[in-house]
Amino acid sequence: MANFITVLNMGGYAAYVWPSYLLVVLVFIGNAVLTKRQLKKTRNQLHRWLKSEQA
Amino acid sequence: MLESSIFSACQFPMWKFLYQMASPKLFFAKTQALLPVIGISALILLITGIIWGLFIAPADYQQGDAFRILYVHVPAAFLSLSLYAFMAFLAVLLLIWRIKIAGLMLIATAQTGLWMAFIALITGSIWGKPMWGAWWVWDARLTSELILFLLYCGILVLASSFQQREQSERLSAILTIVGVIDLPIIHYSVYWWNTLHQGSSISLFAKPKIAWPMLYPLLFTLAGFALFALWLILHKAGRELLQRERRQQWVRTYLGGS
Repeated sequence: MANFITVLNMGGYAAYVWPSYLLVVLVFIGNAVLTKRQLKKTRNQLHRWLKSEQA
Repeated sequence: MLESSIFSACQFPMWKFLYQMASPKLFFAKTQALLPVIGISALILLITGIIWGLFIAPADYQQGDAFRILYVHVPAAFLSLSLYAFMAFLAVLLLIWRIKIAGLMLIATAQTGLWMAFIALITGSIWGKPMWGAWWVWDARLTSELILFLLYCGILVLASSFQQREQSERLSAILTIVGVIDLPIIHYSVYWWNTLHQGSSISLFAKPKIAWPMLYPLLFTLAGFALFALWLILHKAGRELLQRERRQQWVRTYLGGS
């Protein structure tokens, strides 16, 4: 337990190290999710457009 | 004559590759097939590099554990520069050879490069506070990286400012080429001026200044960041390509099958 807290503490720099990694994780996950969602939205829009053209 | 010149250009592997990738259908097919491999490789490299960098690599003798910010700061800064250099290459392809895919790739790369510059600036600022005692200083390296971030913003604003897509892409390409001047300034700023920012830890042509146990995780995160950026760029470019080419038979076939 003490070892875990030592790791979390990052030698007294926890307030700087963890937010840096958190920022990267948030930016990466946010970008990945948004990009996937946009691609899905575009595919759906094009499907609808294709159907309306064929009708 | 034209056919023979194209044929002779195809003799060189790079030109042959570029010539093939200029075809939207081929570009889409090849990149979509590669996306899962790129995505999974990026994830594995990032997780390995981050765990190694945070928990296994030894602490720095001067900076202690604060140096671990390096494993996200350096890859982001490196990619913010290299993605811009790639954009300059795409801008040349667009302006001289009028390869249309280069235009949409340029915008997709700018969107990704902007985030890399953002991460580099914020993590650099967070790292600067315990090391320099300030969140921000108007140091040559920091200021030139901020200019790069603003260049990315300017290119994206320009790309969305015109009704005509071709015009906006051409103007974005011109601004990209003008902004290339910032790349050597960023790289050499730490040598040309007396800056707070330390010199490069790794170089393509010189022996690394960082100890090997600290370098290995950095190589992993560098590769992970690069593959993730590529994954994002190809996704964005693929989406844009589908929209632009929606009247083409290959898009109809793709949509019919998906």
